[in-house]
Amino acid sequence: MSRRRTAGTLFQSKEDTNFKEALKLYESKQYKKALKLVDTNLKKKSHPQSLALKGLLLYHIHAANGKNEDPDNLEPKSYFQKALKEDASNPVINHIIAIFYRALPDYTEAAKYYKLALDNGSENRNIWKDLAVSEIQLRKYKNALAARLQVLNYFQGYRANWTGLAITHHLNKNYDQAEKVLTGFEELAEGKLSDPEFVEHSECLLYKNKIIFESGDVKKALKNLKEIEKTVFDHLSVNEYRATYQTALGDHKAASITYRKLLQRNPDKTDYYYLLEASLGIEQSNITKRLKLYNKLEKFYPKSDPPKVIPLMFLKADSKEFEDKLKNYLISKLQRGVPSVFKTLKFLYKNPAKVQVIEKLVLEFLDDLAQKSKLDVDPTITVWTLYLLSQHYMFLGDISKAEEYIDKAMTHSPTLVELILFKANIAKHKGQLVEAADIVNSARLLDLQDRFINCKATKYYLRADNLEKAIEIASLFTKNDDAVNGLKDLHLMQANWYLIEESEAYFRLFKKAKNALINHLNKIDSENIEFTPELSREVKDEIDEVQKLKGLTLKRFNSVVKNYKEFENDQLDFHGYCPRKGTPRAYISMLNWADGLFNQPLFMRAVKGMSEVYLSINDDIVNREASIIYKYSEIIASSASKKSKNKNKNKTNKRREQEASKIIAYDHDLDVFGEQFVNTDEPIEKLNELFSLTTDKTSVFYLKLSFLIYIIQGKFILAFQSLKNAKDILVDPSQAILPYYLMKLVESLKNNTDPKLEAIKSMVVKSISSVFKDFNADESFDVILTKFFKLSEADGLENHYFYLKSTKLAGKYDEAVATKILELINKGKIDRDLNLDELVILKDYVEANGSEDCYWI
Amino acid sequence: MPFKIALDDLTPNNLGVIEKINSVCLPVQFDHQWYKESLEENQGHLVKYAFFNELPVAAIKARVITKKGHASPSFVYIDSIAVLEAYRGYGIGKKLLDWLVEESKTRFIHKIQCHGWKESVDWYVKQGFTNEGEVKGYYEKQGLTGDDANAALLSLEF
Repeated sequence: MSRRRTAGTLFQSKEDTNFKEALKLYESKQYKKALKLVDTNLKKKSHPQSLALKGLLLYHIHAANGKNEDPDNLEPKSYFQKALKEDASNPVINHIIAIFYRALPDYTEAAKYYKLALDNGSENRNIWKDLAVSEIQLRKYKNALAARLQVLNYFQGYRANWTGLAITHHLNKNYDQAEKVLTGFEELAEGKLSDPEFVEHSECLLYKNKIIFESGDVKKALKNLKEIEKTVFDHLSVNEYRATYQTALGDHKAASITYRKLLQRNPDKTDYYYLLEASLGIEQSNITKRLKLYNKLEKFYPKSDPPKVIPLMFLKADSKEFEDKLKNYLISKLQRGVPSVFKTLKFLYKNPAKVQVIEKLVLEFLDDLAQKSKLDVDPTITVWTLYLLSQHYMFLGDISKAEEYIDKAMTHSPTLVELILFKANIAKHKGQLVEAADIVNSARLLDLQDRFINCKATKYYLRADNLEKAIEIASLFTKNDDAVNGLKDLHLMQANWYLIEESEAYFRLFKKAKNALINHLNKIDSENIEFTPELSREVKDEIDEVQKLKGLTLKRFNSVVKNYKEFENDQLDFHGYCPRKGTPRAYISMLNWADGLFNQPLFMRAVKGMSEVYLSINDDIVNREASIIYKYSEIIASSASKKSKNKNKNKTNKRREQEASKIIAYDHDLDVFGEQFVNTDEPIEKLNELFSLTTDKTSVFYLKLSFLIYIIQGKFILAFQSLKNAKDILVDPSQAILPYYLMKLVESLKNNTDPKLEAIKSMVVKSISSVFKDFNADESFDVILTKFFKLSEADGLENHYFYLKSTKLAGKYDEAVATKILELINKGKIDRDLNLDELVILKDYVEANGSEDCYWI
Repeated sequence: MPFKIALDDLTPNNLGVIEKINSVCLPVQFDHQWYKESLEENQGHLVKYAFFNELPVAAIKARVITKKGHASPSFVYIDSIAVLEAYRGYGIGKKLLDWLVEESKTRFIHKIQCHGWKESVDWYVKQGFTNEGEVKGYYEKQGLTGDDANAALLSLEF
């Protein structure tokens, strides 16, 4: 706002002088002083600009004390409303409001007010820059273009504005225009660039070249590449682009030469080898020719892995070449005691015949070692070989052999951390989470300053639901200041890995506590146990604990969501910074990254976890009358006298305060226990809000969750549509998932009594039969069960689970399947793609005889 | 085969390693506190690790003993010396002992003493110690059964 000109009055009033002074103070972040000035302005008569500034100042003052976290705090906004009421078309007011929304951040509103400020005649040309940035953040490229055009119009002397405009053209897919703008500046600058500007120049030239290629004129791009080659510093990109262009133009011979050049630069990049093969026109099936090529390449680059490893992929398992090549590679690695051999060979494990050869060779090697006299052998070679064998058997699912070898290795070298970590990994796969955590911790004790092992130990303790120990260990590496532990620092550092694991641990603890509570209450209920004041207090504590865990689950999951929103927000600075620094290519790839931000697996884990809890909160609301927890909460509430209530409240408050110091997430955290989340009356709206962030609408997870939301909302057509889409993407549609969800849909149709929906409901019933053959919604669930569910021995947990839930919908609970599920879990035969939470949910569900409903999205 | 044997110091961060090595190599088990004391400064603790190709495989722990009423230290006593079984025969124990000898010399101490079973004292004798004979009841006090301990002594020449 520095160059703001207040409306051109010659004689400034005292208010205007004060206001100007306050603005200066605002810019130097002296908000309280500025507020004083503004308040003197507002004391006597109204001064709309000061009103608006007051709102902005209050926002910043609140930021320091955490008040902004409170969603009910509408104070700043009320001042804007007042200011607008008095002078809506004042550009200064508009601008101040825009700045507020940008800080909030709410870019839609910010863009709106920037635009208003300009429309109302603001002469502050910098607003165009801010407008452009907000529009790009919103991905409204067309609006951004208009703004960037103005920016260039006003400030032609800066390259950044040319580059910025070109980028915006590019984002609008106006390739020709983008190219023209970039060329325009090049012509202006020709011969006038100083040395430090050449890096930026080089990047911009490459960027232009990329745009030409994307426009589809590959020939021109290739020609341009030759022209700029001498000026560009990034030779790697030049050659990679060239190879791509040559391939696109069908000039494979030239491409192959370029790829060979690239290989000389970096013979360890696997991609180049494949691309070279392709450009040489060698067919995938022509093993002799490929082998010849790789033999040659191996001679050229004897120190590189890819020419040794790639042939292992295409050679036949029973061929002599395969065995020889594998042996050479494997033995040389083992001789040098390389710990990561298994990782580099993992890709061969898809082929069982090749796995056998590996096993044979390694066992032979181990035998040879044993034959030699001890002092001729480096003992570390033996230990890494044993380690490899353990990993090998583990991958094949032979847990006892894996344990045998890791134990041998650990007896041999008990101080080797990697071995202990793998031992813990085995324990984890056996489902012994507590033991696994203790094993990792024993490795940690060998090297307390190793951050990797520290994090591993933390994670294992979180998996074992031992939150106290986890944070204690993690806190050794965090900045704790005056906090009792490092939790606040982990939030500040956006340690998502920790947050998500802790959320999931809280979730498991919540599930456990809730199930235990229900069992307890059921027992009290069915055995007519006298509800004494002591018992009442005990039950109340249990209920509080469940509520607390539920709140913390949501709170922690939400901190991950918050971090992702912050990541998204972090782009903001780069819209201006990248054009200025001349890194448009990196900038474009950052935009692409940000576009997929809310589809990242870690974020989806948070959405998944939160949706489970929100759905269960919704269940609690819908079934409140039937809920046994609700029943006893009422009894407790009505029986307690006012006096004892107060006494208890004081007691709990004290306990809570103590607890809060250990679990507080942020400075000025107004909702340490996440009660805000738990006490919502609109869990589905909250869930929808969160869910709408994800942009990948084709995943099975997305479809399942949207289905569940739709049936709760009574949007049956949309629910049906989700299932229809799921049918198309499920790899194996014969699985029990679809029939289960269909039954669920039919059930909801039956339960819905809204007469207005009759027509829609009958339409959905008809559509079900036409899309899902043989599935007749009018048939009884018993018939459907026998028709659609055929479990086989080979079926994994997921199928068993959905079968079990289906039998429950049909009004019976299949004990045999339940037993089978527990058996599968306890055997440690854990599906690879099943995560721990699902397992715990599943186990709890089965152990509670399906009494507590659970979602498994 | 190129072996690299290197010595390194005890730090608060790797204390667990000597505990681990001793716990798998020695018949006597010491508690955590016993090891922790080695970190205290000016207490005359002499502890050193040996690394075999970057892997910690052996450790020696000794103390400078000053007899009551004496101003200068009387002798160095070896609390423990242990090499992981798979790494024995490479001269690692000797390296640690050599270090201790040098360390004692810089402190002008003339004697290094230790106790052990007959078999282990044989090893000390090989390194130049003399066997001072059985010490009745020495191990019994530590709760160990079996043979009595032998005392070994190394006199250092300057």
